[in-house]
Amino acid sequence: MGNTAIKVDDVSIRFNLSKEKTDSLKEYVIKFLKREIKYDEFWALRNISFELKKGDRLGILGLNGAGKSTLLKIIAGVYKPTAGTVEKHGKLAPMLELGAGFDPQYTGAENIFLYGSVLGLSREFLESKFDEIVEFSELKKFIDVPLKNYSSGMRARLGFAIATVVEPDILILDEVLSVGDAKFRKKSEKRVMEMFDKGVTVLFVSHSLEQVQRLCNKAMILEHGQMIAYGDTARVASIYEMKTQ
Amino acid sequence: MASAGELHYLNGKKKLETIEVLIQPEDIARTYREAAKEMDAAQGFEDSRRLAKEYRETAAKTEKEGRERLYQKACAAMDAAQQTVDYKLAIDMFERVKGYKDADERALKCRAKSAAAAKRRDARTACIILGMLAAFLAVITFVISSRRESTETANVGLEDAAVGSEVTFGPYTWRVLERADDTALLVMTHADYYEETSNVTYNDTDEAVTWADSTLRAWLNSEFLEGFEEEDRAKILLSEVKNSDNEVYGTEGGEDTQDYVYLMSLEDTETYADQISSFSLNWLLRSPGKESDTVAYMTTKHRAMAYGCPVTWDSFDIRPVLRVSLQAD
Amino acid sequence: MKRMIAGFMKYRFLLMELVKKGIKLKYRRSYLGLIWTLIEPLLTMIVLTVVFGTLLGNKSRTFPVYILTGRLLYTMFSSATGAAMRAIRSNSAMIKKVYVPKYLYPLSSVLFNYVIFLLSLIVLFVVAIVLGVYPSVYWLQAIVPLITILLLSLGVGMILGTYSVFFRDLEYLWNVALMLIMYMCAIFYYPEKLLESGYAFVLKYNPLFCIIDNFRSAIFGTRINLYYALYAFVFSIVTIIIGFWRFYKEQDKFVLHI
Repeated sequence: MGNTAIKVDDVSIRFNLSKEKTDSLKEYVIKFLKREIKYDEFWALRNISFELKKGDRLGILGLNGAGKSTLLKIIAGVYKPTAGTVEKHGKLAPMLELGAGFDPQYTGAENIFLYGSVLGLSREFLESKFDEIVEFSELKKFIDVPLKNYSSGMRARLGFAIATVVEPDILILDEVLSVGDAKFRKKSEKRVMEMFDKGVTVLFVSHSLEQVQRLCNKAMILEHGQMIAYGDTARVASIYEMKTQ
Repeated sequence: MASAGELHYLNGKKKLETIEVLIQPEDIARTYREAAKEMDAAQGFEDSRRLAKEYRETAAKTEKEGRERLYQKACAAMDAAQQTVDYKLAIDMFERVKGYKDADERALKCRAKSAAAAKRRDARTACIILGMLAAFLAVITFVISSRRESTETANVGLEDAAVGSEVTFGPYTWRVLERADDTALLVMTHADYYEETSNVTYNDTDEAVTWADSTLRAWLNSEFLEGFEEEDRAKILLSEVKNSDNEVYGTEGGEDTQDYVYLMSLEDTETYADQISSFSLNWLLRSPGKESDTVAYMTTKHRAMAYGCPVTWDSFDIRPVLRVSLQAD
Repeated sequence: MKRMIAGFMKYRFLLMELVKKGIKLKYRRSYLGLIWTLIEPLLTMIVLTVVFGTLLGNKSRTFPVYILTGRLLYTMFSSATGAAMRAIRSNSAMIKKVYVPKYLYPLSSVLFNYVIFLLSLIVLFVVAIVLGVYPSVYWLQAIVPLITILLLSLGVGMILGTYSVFFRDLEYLWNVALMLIMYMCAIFYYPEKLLESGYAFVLKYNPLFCIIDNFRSAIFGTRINLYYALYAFVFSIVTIIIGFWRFYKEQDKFVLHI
């Protein structure tokens, strides 16, 4: 129990979005009275259960729409599951939706402090790590420019730099390692491997089977919101290969 | 060179390796069956026939166990369900074991309960909205009815007012200095709110003057009174006003007068010290200052200045005093 | 409850960062920046004094102070509730990426507007002294309305913040309501005439008027009205309870609507 980093227990999530956007009071009241509110109901995830120990590296595979991003968001706390629980131990650094775009009007430097405070870090700690972040992201010339002027690659670099430098216990990456030029990809992979040695638990979504085989000790395949396979990377990889032929 | 049978045999065994990481019972069962097919194709190589049979049995057992587990889970979910979404989860699980035991009936039951729970929730929302509307209407009704009362109490307020409290009379607010059974002595509060009583001069011209012949007294008892409604004006009583000399400097106070509206004197500020203790502003009194062309005043720090200021200074306020009759018309 | 306090402590840096962000971004694009917090009330005061003072006959020397006291409190209330109402939507980028107790967003909006309001009180201080309304012991009473306005803005802000995520037209409705409230606060006219007529309820049941009236009493050196103070305080606490309760119930659905 003391070694568990993440425990997902029978998690399911159901999305209940109304078919037409009723975001005005008038429409809502009329539709409510006429009982015309129709919903698009579907289970995005069903009965997901797994446990990661400290230092595990999990690669999540699956076709688009399988529920990978949804699962990561549930673990990161952005979505609340309809059923089941998620148990987390330690500081969790999420990197979802490409880049640390926490506030587009804020500069890169200001976003660094904002992101850090989200993880509960004090200003002193962030100031001591500031130069390291700027250096890793290679954005020194642009660090005082508002984030809305960054390219998506720059945003990814900054987000990744912050997420890794703040020394998290759990790192969640949504397809970020496949973004950016070859040079950055190599650099980010190297950084992630360094974190493995420090015992950081990593979850990441990837479409590259080869990358998962290289970096992860466990893998999972999701299909239509259900876990199809979970366990040793090599075995899961062979199943995935068969499926994608 | 391995025979064809051996190849199939090894293939079959290899398939079993992936079962370790498979989760869904259907996938596991299917893999066992595929392995069994490979064993069939091995045509008797080693124990392939036995294994084929074993694999098929395991496949069937896995399927059955999987279905039973899911069924039990669905039943547990159904029992623990409270909201529509819990029922939907149970329904989904029952449908995945369609045809197994009484799963279909249970699914139907869940649908019914889910619809009932949804109806309950909608009814509750409707009640809340109606409740809020009712509360809103109640508040409006209460407020409007209390408005009726206050139009009638506008004058009663004056009668109930105790010494030291604030009342409205005419277009101004006053503090009650004195109360007899049927009269009250009032002094104006918030004098700086009103144009008439702000930046007022005691006398238009710079000369020796007493209360009796000051232009301020004339104005207060004529134009100032016109600011009141007829029925209010009728309530203002004529007062006997004593104008004594300045006790510090001996300056003459002039004749005693009879006024409807007047100002306090230096003596009055001592008599009514309690009631005026919260007044700030610089406000004029009617007593003369050190010279005959000066007038005494009160400071923002509640101190009486017997030394006085020139009668033509216009940066001070005035607090008119009047006595009203409290008899109902 | 203990968990809530522990949670709050963990995110106290974030609360400060969000408040700082609100203040920094408010005037980032304008030329004058934060100075505008001091100039804007001054300019409004001049305009209102000219219109409602000189032109309509309220020539009292201290009328500008009278206006300023009401105006500053009203502006604080309207900015804070408006910002709280938009808080979830304007922070949607963060909400979709990372977990943070969501009540921090409207809370920080109200707080940063409160800080700006406190800064603008400097203007009031200066104008008051220039026009002869001097500080006295009575000014200490101002603490009561100053705390109550924060509570009222927070409560109303939480309620609006919760429901405007689902109904965007609430923003327009609230702007109209604010206008109505402004006229019911006696900011640029004296309340006496209204108070003695049958329409006194319009003022007396408006918690914002109670707060403004008490603040004015404190500044002008008289005792505050304890009934007003109690009414406004209770009203604020009730809105806070309702606001936080509804927010807590609905917050998990926010991310699906932004």
